[in-house]
This record gives sequence, structure tokens and C-alpha cells, in this order.
Amino acid sequence: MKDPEQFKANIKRNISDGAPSNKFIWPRYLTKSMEDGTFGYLMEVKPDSFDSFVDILNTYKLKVDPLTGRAVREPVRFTDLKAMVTACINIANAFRQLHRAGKSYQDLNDGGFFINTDTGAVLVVDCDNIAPDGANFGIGGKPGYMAPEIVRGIAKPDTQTDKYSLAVVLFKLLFRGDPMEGEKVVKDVCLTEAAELKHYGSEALFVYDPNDASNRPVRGIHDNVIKFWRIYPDYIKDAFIKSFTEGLTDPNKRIIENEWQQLFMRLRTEIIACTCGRTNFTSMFEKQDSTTYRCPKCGMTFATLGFSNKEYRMPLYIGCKFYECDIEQNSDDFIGVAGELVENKLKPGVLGIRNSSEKVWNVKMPDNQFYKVDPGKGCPIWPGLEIDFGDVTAKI
Amino acid sequence: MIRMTELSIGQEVELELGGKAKVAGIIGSGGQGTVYLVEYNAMKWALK
Ligand SMILES: [Zn+2]
Repeated sequence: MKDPEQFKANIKRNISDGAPSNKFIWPRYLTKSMEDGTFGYLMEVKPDSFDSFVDILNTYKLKVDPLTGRAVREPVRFTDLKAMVTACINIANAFRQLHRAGKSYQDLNDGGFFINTDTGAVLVVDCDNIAPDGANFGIGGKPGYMAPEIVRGIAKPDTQTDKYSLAVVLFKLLFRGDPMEGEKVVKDVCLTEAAELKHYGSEALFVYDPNDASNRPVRGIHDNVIKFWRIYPDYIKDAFIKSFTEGLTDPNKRIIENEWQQLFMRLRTEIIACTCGRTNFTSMFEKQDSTTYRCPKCGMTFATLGFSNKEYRMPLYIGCKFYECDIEQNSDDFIGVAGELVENKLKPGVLGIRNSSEKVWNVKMPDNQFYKVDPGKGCPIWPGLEIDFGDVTAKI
Repeated sequence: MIRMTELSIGQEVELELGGKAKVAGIIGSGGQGTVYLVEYNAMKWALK
């Protein structure tokens, strides 16, 4: 700690500024300094429904059995793919909100998040090092999460180094491995501080650098990364390649938070949950024609809905949803459901889209006429379907 | 990083704005020090 008084003044300022959003467990009240000069702060209690990012990466947590007093392993997994991708959207969004408030987190690492594995909701914790961008109170960061320029000692944490750490966090969540740990690192048996400096600093090399294959993941050691790298679509892989090649040395080339948010919103839209049980990204489904996907397991086909504000199409399956941000040009609401594909309760097999928004839609029905569809009401799915949401239109 | 002096259950900690938080238990301890469960203004809070 450089200067406890400065540090305390910073927390005081954060308390009076308030949290950037409700995704932060933010300092709320300072204690008076104790006799030895130390002090603490009060914050809200983290709800039990959130698991630590560390436990999520470990896929289990230890819980003490009240009967035997022994610690038992309890699995920690996302309920479904959608919850995991929603967590990525929320993490990117939280750091966007923080950076927009002119602050940086500084020591972003796996201990800084809690996630609800059912919904993908995110809470950022350990907010006591958050400081105005450019200010630093002596904190460095955790090896593996720190930007190379901090590891090398030539930069201090700021919003640019936060962006690097954010890419590491997202990589670990998706690929369940370390972006810089491959063959080159495994061969180097000594895990000394000097080696760490090399592999995460001056000689850091992304495991999937397209121009240098010398640090590829090793079968038997990095199986998760090898397995998951195959299933993600190119636009996700390209973002990580950019972050960990050009972005490794040039902080201006790092993916900005809003870009991550948009990429993961696309990824969430491109999930198909087939009735046969196969749930995956469209990149892992067959393409029957330019607007129809086909399940490679059971042969079921999925029509898609194209939105006027997007380059990609949304596959239609029972339970799929779109959100306020999809139907409103300037909305950032990626949680509020605007529409949902449902099965007609009276006519099984007949599918429709329910208007879950608060706006009246103008919808082209099978007689080629447009009709108003009020909130709470639905419209049938048919090959010529068009929905006019106001700002945005969508077509099958 | 703050390393608050070790506290015991039942102990009261004065707040800068006035009032006292009463230590009710330990939520967790780790690399970032101990986090205590405290009561303040009839509500439960975490103290770090
Ligand atoms: Zn299927």
C-alpha cells in the first residue's frame, strides 16, 4: 500500500459517487480508522444464489455437510448455454458501465465476480481498488490476468489494461483454460517468477496465434481449450485472436466492452435448443439453405427471423426469445424479453410469437394483410411473416 | 487492499458517518482478508 490516507480518500469518493450500476457490490459506509490505522467498509451482502467465478471454473464448490461436518463437493455449472452467454454479456456490460463512469477496476481477476448460473446475472465484488482512470494506489494484479505491459513493469493498471484482463476472463469462461498456456509454456518446466514474466509478459504468445503455432494447446493437458475452440463461431474466435495478438502489444487494438457485448448478444441469439435435446450454436448445426438450419442429430429444421438492424438471423425454436434491444434502435436492455416463440396450447404443433413487449406490433398475417398485435397477444409463424416493431422490422 | 484489524463477534465498530456496526459473524476469509457479517441500521451488511 502506497498511502493509506489516499486509499481511504479514494474509497470515500467512490462511496459518494455511488456504484456504476446494480451489478457492483460497492462500498457503502466507511468505518472510522482503528488504533492501528486500519479501517474497513460496509457493503451489501452477496446473495446465496451467486457462485464465485473460481468455483465456476473449478466446476464445483466445497460445502460443509451440517450433519457430518465434512466438506462435500457440490457441482457448479451453468443451467444452459444461454445462461453462460448471458453471463458474458453481463460481464462486458459491467465493465462498460464502470469505464463509462471514468473508473478502472485495476486488478480484474477470477476473484472479482460472482455469477448466478441459472440466469447469467453477474455481481462484481472487491471494488476497493476501483479508481479514476489514470490513478493507481500500488495494486498490480494477478498473474495470468494482468496485461503484459503491467507484467513487464512498463505500465500501471488503467482502463486499457482492464480490457486485456476482461478478454482473459471471457476466454477462461468460454474455453476453460489459459489463453497463453500451450506447448511453449509446458516445455519450460520451471515455473519461477522469471518464467511467469516471460510467458505473460515479454514473450507472451496466444495459443491460437494464426502466425505462430509454437504455443498450441497440448492434448492431454489443455483438452478443454482444444474441444471448445472447435465449437465457437469465427466472429468469437476472431475477437480473441485480435485481443491476444495485436492487442497483446497495442492496447488500442483491444476489443472494447461494447464490442464484446454485441458479439455475445449475437452468440446468444445464435443458440438453437432442439427438441431432441441437442443445444448448441448455429455454427454446430447444418445449413439447409441460406435461411434454414437443420439439426444434425434428428433432422428437425429451423426457420430464421431476420431483423432490419442486424446482419445475422435468429433461429426460431420453442422457447427462443428476443429482447428490447433487438426491437428498439437505441435500447441497451438485453434482459427485458420483447418476444418469445411459443406453442399454441390449444393446437399443439402450431407455433406463434408472443408479444411480450409493451408496444403494439404491426404484423403481416397469412392473408397478406397487416394487423395490430397487442402486448400479451401472439401471431402465427408462417413463411411470409413480417413484424413492424416501429424502429425495427423483422422478416422470416 | 485493506487489512482490517481482527474483530470478534459482538464487537462494535464505529462508522465515519456516526453509528456503530455490530459484528455478527464471519462470511469468509481469504487472500483479501476476512469479510465479516455485521448489523447496522437494523440491516445485515458485509464488512471488509
Ligand atoms: Zn434435433
